[in-house]
Amino acid sequence: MTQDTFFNVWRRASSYRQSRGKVTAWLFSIGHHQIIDEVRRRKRREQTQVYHDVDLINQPSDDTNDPMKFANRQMQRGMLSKALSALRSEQREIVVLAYYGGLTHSEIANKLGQPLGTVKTRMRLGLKKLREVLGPQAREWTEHGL
Amino acid sequence: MDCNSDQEQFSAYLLGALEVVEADKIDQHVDRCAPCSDILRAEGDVVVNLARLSPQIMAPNRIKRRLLSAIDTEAA
Repeated sequence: MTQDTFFNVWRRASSYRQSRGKVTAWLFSIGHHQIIDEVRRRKRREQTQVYHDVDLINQPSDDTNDPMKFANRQMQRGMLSKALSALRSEQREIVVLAYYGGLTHSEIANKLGQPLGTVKTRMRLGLKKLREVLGPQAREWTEHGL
Repeated sequence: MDCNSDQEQFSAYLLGALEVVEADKIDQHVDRCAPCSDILRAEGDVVVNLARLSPQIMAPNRIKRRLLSAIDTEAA
């Protein structure tokens, strides 16, 4: 997946538009699409279940050899986790299913038995709330990279 | 090109929740519309940060070798 992501970065380098954001954001976007495609492929192949409650925080990480980096990363994760927790549960569920589960808004609507318009609204309000909670911190992390 | 209706799709676009055709439509719009491009960029910061919740894993060196080899093959 990592290899494919960077291969696509190389292949699509000419499509990068500075006006659309930092290179980091573009790279994350390509990586995210790569993962979504893979999740969708696996779902079709294995009919795997998409988990609602992914434990995103307590997973092992490889940045423990740099104490400062580790501390910063843990702080970022803590703040992001808190920001996600600040969402109403129905908003958080939709954001998680879309971003981490790779489901389209129509698939989420079908899965949850909710009207598409409701899913779209909750998605929009969820991201708005995340922006409010994270505030300028989100931009700073993006500007300064990982 | 309808700025208001497309802006309502920005959250789904950023979360990767649009169908390919819908996402392409947003791409084409923001490529030609500076105000919408600015809005999308500002809204995108928060989504990029969602990736930071995932564990960070150092890629092994063989990935770099394979990547460079794949690029050499493609470029040849």
